[in-house]
Amino acid sequence: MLTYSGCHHPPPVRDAPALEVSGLSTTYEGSRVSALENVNLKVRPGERIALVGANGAGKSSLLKVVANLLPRTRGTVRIFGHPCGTCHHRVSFLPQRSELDWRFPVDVERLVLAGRYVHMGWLRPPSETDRKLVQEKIALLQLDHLRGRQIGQLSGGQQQRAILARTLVQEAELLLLDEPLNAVDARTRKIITDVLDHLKDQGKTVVMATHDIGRLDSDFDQAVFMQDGKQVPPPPDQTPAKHTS
Amino acid sequence: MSWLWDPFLDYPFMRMAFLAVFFVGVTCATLGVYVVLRRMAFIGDALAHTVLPGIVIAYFYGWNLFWGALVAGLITALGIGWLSRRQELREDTAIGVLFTGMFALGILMISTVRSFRDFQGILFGNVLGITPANLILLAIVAVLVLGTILLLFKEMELVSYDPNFAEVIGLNTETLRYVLMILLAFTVVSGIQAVGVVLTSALLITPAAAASLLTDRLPVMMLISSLFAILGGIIGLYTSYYFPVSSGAAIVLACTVIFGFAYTFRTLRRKQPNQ
Repeated sequence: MLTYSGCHHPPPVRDAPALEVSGLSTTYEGSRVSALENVNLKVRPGERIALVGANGAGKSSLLKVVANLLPRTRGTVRIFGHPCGTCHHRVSFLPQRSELDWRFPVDVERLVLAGRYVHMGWLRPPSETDRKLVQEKIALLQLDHLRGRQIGQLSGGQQQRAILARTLVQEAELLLLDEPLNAVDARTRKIITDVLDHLKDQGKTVVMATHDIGRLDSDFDQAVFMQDGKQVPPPPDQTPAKHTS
Repeated sequence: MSWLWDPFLDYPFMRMAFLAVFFVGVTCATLGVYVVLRRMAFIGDALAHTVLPGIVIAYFYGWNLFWGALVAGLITALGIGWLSRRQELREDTAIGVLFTGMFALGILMISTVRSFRDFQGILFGNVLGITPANLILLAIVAVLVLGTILLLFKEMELVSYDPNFAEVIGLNTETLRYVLMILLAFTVVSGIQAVGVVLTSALLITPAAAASLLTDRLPVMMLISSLFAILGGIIGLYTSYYFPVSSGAAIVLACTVIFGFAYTFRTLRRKQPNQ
C-alpha cells in the first residue's frame, strides 16, 4: 500500500500509553500569545478523557497538536509510543462543524467513506469491506435515509452525525473529538451519546473537548480543566480524585 | 442540413479546429470545476495573463509558442504557491502584483515588435489556424491533466472540502495544491490555443459555473461542464465559419449563453412547488 505519509504504519509500542503529552507549548502563526503552555497528559488505552474549559481555553488547540494539525513550539507528543504524525491510521479526529466546506458537491456516503482513505492510501479504490463499514456507521448514526444527500442540505445535527460517522469508520484506536455535542438538537445528542457510550465497550481511547460538565463523572475517566492554554485545578464542586490538572 | 456538415467535410482546418475545441474544452472544463469550487477563479485568470512574456520570448527566438507559454505558466504557478505560502502578502494581493506585472512585461515586449498581428492569435485565440503539431500537444495535455485528476480524484476531492481532515490522515495538502497549480498551468496554456490569453479564464470558469448550477455530484458536474464546453466550442466554430467574427470570442460567448440557460433553468426549477 502507498501510504499518504510515505512511511509504513508502525505497530504500537508495548505497554505504551495511548497518548502521552509532555511539556507541550504551542503558538498560532502570527500570534505572540501561547495557545498552549506546558501541558502534560497521560492517557492509558481504553480511557475516556474530557478536556473542559471555556472558548479559547486551549481544548481545540491541544486536539489539533495531537492530530498533527498545529506545530509544537516545545514539548513532545507520543501516540502509542510513536511521535505524532507517524501513525495516522490510529488517530481519528472529529473537527468542529465550521471547519468543512459544506457547499462542496459530495454526499453523505462519500463524506463518510473519506474516513477509510487512510487505510487505502494512494491509487487504491474502496474495497467491499470499506463500503460495508461505511454502511454500518451510517446506520449507527441513523443517517440511512440521507446517504445520497449533498452534505450542505443536512441540518446541523445531521452534519455532526455525518462527520462522527466518518471519524468512526476509520476504526482508529485513539479518537480526538472536538465538541461533538455542541449546538445539536436533542435527538442528535441522544444518538451521539449512545455511540460514545458504545466506544467504551469497544475499548477505544477517547479525548473529547466539551463545555458540558454535568456528566463528567458518569461519562469520563479523567477530566482535564483548561484556561488560557494552561491546565488549571478543577472547580471545587468537581470530585478531585478523577481530575488531573 | 448540409450547412451542418459542409464545413467539416470540405475543410480540413475545421476538422482540426473541432478536435482542438474538444481537447481544450474537456481539459479546461474538468479542471475548471475545481477552480470554481475552490474559489480559484482569480488564479486561473492571472495564470492565463502571466504566460504572455514566455510567449513573446519564444516568438523572439523562433521556438514553439506553446513551450514558451508552458514554462511561463509553470513558473507563475509555483511562484504564486511560494508567495502565498510565505504569508507575507495575502494570496490575492500576491497574485494581483504578479499578474499585472507579468502581463505588462508581455505587452512591453510586444510593443518592441513591428507587427502586432503576429500576436493576435495568442491574445484573442486562433483555433481555426491550429497546426497538427499543436493538436498533438493539446491531446497530450488533455491526457495528462485528466489522467492526474482521475488518479488523484479522492484526494483532490477531500482536500477541497476538508483540508484539515486530509492533513490528519497524512495527506500533504500543500503538495496537492502545487499539483493543482501545475495542472492549471498546463490547462491554461491549452486554453490559450483556442480562445487566447484574454479569454482563457472564461473556458475554465463559465462551463464549470453552469454545471455547478445543475448538479451536486462532483463527477457529474465535471461531465456536464465538459459537454457545455464542447457545445460552446462547436457553436463558436460554426458562428465564426458563417460570420466574419473572432472564433475565440464566439466560443466564449456561446459558453456564456449556455450559462444563461443553465441559470434560467435552475431558477425556474426552484420556483416550482415540491422541488
